[in-house]
Amino acid sequence: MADLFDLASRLTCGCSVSGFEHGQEEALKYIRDKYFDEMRREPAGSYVFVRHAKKPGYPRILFDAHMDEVGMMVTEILDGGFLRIAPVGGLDTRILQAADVTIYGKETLYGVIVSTPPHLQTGDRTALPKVDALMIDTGLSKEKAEELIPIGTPVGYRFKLTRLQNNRICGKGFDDKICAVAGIAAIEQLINEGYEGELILLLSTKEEVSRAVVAAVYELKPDYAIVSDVCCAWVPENKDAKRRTTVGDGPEISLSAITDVRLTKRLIKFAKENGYKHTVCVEATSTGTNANDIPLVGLGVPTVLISIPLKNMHTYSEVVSLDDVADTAALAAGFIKELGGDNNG
Amino acid sequence: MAKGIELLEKLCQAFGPTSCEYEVADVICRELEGKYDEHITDFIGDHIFMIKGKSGKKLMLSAHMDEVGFMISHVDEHGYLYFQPVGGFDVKVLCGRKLFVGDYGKEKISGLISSKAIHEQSAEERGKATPINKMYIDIGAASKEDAEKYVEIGDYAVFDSDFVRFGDGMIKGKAIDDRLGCAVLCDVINYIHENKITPDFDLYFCFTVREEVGRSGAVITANRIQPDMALVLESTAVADIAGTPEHKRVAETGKGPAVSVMDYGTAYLPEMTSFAMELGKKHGIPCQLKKYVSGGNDAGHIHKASGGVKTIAVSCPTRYIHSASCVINEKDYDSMFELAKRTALCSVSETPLK
Repeated sequence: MADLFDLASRLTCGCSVSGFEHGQEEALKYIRDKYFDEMRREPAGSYVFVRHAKKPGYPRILFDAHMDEVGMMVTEILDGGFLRIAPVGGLDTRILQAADVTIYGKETLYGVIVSTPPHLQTGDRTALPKVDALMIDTGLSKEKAEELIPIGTPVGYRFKLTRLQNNRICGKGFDDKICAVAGIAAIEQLINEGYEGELILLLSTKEEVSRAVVAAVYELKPDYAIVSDVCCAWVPENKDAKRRTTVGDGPEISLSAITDVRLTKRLIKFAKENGYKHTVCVEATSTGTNANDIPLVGLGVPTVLISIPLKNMHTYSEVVSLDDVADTAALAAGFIKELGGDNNG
Repeated sequence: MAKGIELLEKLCQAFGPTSCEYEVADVICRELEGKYDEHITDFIGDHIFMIKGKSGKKLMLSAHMDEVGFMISHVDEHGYLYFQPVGGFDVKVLCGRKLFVGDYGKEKISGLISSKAIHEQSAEERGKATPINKMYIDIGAASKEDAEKYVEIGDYAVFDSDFVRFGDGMIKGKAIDDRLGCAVLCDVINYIHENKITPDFDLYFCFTVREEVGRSGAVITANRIQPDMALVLESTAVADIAGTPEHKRVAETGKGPAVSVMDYGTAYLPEMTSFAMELGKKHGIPCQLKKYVSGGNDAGHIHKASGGVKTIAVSCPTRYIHSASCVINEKDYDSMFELAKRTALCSVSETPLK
């Protein structure tokens, strides 16, 4: 079994704000060298990893996870070296004030998002300012900030990957790099078991803003796509929610009219018959993921979505269970073998 | 003052919410071993280190050891921990924060203040901070029974936040309020010890408890010492951020200790305010007046204790105070140290006691 904590830590430490996923090179090369024959960056920015087939006749199966994450972008430099920012993706404004950030300027810099001292707060003290009303404290003079931080510089959450109880971990960017970890673990398992078909891992970009995945899928023309993304785990505030999948419940298979219902039902049957831990969630008309778009790329791609339950999505304190990651990897690997058997009996 | 900043880091990283200041006191006791004439502690955890002087007059120098934190009040069926704040918080700096949960002498475990994802918030919820009584801590527990293996009611939590130097000489960390005051006091004792100085005043270096909840250990400390004069070393909230009008900034980082005129706990004697400002001027130490009536500190207790004490508070300008990421300017540490040192080494005749 791959070291999931190590992979999570490698994949989540660099800059990967949507549109600025360039900070991941080191982790990507590590993955290429360890598991694949080639890695390429396609024109819309996604990274394609290919392990060539050892024998012909297998279907081309793609495992997709997006490697971008929400963040911020610098829009203006103010007196005292404070930065105005715009959101990149859907930021949770409840977690921003006094939060630590990393500014990916000409140098990688530390910053903290300002919070208004109580004596300056008037009116409703629980009202949250919009992101464009917040600022980042760089601790630099305006001149120095202008020199080091061009307008448009991406800013990401700063965090420390932390272990919680029960093999759960807390950090940022698990949406969706924790699913990339699951994909890599699945591929490692297939390699160890001597699977001889082609294996493709797509780490797609810009999911949080424009779903650049379609460009890569168009070029790859896969026979099947397994998309893996995170889903909101149930928390106590959702008292009345019918859907109660939470962290620790294993992968959630999404049943949706816009992915591939037949293939998904086959996946559910496969999981049931072979004892793979899983839950099923109906998201009839939208999954909110790349799995919405992949089915209609090119001449169409049969697509399933397997989700990992995650708490506090889009924050620097996302929580997942590494057991769920391992179970997702096992299910994906099992299903790839099942699909591989189609054309290679 | 590299050594002082190193000690500040150690002190900031210590786990020391109100009435659980023992870990901070341990760091201080180790640092000061053999450098004082007398060490007095009391039942609530205040520590006093005395250095004998020549005049018989007593100067109290005080800083509080406690930091803002949380007390675990309930564990629910899912294994989430509910809590009450210990100290004053802006509710908008809590969500998502990593914490250490535990108690003195107990292994600390990681947790975080959790909440519903943005995707599941209604439009109305998105614009509003979650009230503290609806927040809860996730330690990764699977159930109530599971959580109770690690945590019990009455355990504390404090921010998990590293100590970072950044920008042009800035520092970020948790608990700067008031570990900075503690570090400065230690540094002054180190200075006196290393230079074998016999001061004019009997110096009582007081590391107090319970400031953040207002029922301060400084009261009984001052009653015990019965000082003639007192210097309180603190941190104060400032708003020297872009767009804030001059009159609301309180003080500016990088411009030295903010000397108090008035706050919600104390109307300082004008002679004490001028004493601090003049002392700074005389020795070329940058100092500024605290230009806003806000906050309060141990001076509020000390100036009324033991029949009345001439008291002044000087504070390190601190941005985002009571959050996981307090920000100060390193130069202000040096200025706080210089001003505390010069005060400690004053002869009685140089002070308002003359």
